[in-house]
Amino acid sequence: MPPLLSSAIALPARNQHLLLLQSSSAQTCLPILRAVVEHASERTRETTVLFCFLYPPSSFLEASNESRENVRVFDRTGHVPGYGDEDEKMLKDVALEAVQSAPPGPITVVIDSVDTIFSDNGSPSETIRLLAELLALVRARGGTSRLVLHVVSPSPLLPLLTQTRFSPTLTQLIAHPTALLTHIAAAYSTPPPPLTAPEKFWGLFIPFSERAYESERLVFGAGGEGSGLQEFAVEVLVRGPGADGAARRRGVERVLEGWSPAQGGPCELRDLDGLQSLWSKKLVPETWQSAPDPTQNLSFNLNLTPEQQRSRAQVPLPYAHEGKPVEQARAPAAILYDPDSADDLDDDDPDEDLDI
Amino acid sequence: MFPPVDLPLPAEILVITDELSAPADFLLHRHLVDNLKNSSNAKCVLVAVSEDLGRWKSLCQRSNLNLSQYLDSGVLSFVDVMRHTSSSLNGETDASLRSLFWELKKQITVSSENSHVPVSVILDNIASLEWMGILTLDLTRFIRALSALCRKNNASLVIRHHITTSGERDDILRHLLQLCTYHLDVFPLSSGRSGSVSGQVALHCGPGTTKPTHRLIPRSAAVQYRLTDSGSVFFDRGTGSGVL
Repeated sequence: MPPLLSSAIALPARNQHLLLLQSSSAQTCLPILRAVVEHASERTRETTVLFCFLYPPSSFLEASNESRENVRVFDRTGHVPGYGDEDEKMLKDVALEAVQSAPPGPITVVIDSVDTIFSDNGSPSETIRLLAELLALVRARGGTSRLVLHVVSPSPLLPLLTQTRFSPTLTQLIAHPTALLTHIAAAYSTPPPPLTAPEKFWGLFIPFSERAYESERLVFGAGGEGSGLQEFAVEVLVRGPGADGAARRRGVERVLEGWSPAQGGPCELRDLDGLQSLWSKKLVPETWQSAPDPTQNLSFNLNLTPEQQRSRAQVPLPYAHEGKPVEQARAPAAILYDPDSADDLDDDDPDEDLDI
Repeated sequence: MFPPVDLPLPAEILVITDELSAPADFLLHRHLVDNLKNSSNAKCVLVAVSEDLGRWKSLCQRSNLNLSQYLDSGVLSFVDVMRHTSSSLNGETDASLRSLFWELKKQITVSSENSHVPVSVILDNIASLEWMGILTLDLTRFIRALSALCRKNNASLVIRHHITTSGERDDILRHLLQLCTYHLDVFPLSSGRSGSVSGQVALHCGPGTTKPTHRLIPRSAAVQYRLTDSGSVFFDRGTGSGVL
């Protein structure tokens, strides 16, 4: 069974119309977004509409691919409120017109930064309304059409986008730094599945990973490597039927997979270099049974030859009475006590009058 | 060789962060001196918030660079941010950043149109603007607009930001890190001050950077540096005795 991540990127399922990519300041998910855009642009029968609000289009597409007929790029990185032309068209009109005017057939609409739209209009409801309208247009196209959104957590839009009211089906990819998994394995003795039971692992991992400051501390604090690591772990969450349409999924399926450029993109967790220490079996040395022998591996010889042992045995020991009992006057053991003036010495038994 | 010579390239954004005990002034001076000395037809725009021109002149004098000569010839432009923002300390902060932006736009577009010369913009620093009371939202919009402007005109942009609490990221820095192509991370030794090592430098790439052209350096393998009278000396961990 192919990993969920690679199928989410390259083989969109017919009913999964919303793909949500979640980054954090500790770990970005943009390499996956780039892979999604590249795969979508290569499907020449489908249209790809890319809206760039924060990151330049070159972050997602090679310059040669930008000019493909089935790819339409809207670079709105320079459209900052207060710094542009006042009579430019409203974003909502531009976005809806771009999707509606695309050629018929499946469509992939990619928005590189939902938070930037929210920051510009300042209203979560207006942002969600725009995204809901785009999603409705995408869903109407059917087939493998998808709305791909990128969010940087913590964001007030995340809980709104993950609700079933916004979209009953959802594929969510959350990027986590590998330092998070090694920390949980070391501090809580809970390495990722299958080394630990999934219920135990998720019960610990989900609340820990939702606290953004914990991941930031692990990445940017003392002992952290800093951001920008090329390899990371991806939490894949699928709600509703997935790419393998035969399996009717109930509820939500959640797995942890990996992303590594060296492995060509999606990979298993165990293929990540940063996590190799979790998978290697450590042999516990049996020190309690045999203490390490200090006489081994020395540059000089501590052993004795038989002649040396014989001459050692002939050396008289300084303690002359070894082995012989000490002869002394056998006096009976007794305690001699002289009472002083304050002592009330009475030979009678004080407990005589007790009647128990 | 560290730091790499072509960092940043035109249309790239480099964010330099430093801390109180390991300031990155030497990197900015090095970048300015390299730009002015090595490229014959370069143009630099120096946008200074906290340090005035006199200090830059005296520091460049140590590298045998006469800033006045470059200022007179127009190769170097000096923009004093306080001229724009002093009015904002009383009232709305957005207008001052916008006037600063329009001046920078004039400087950058004129030089790129005239002679197709690569422009290098150095903004030192963003943190002081935040400490002065300018709103985070206004600053993030300014940074976005400036980044888009530099990218559109093929200018390289270097932004310095101070980290106040080691290990913590404030909102401005989170935003800067999303926008940057590369991030030079200057931080002190974890064991405290040392006479022979002034600090360490790591190089990270930004989220939008797909194929980094420079060798990335994580914090655990950071290059150490020592400040000297004439500049700085870089060496790998543990090799200090060969250099110092």
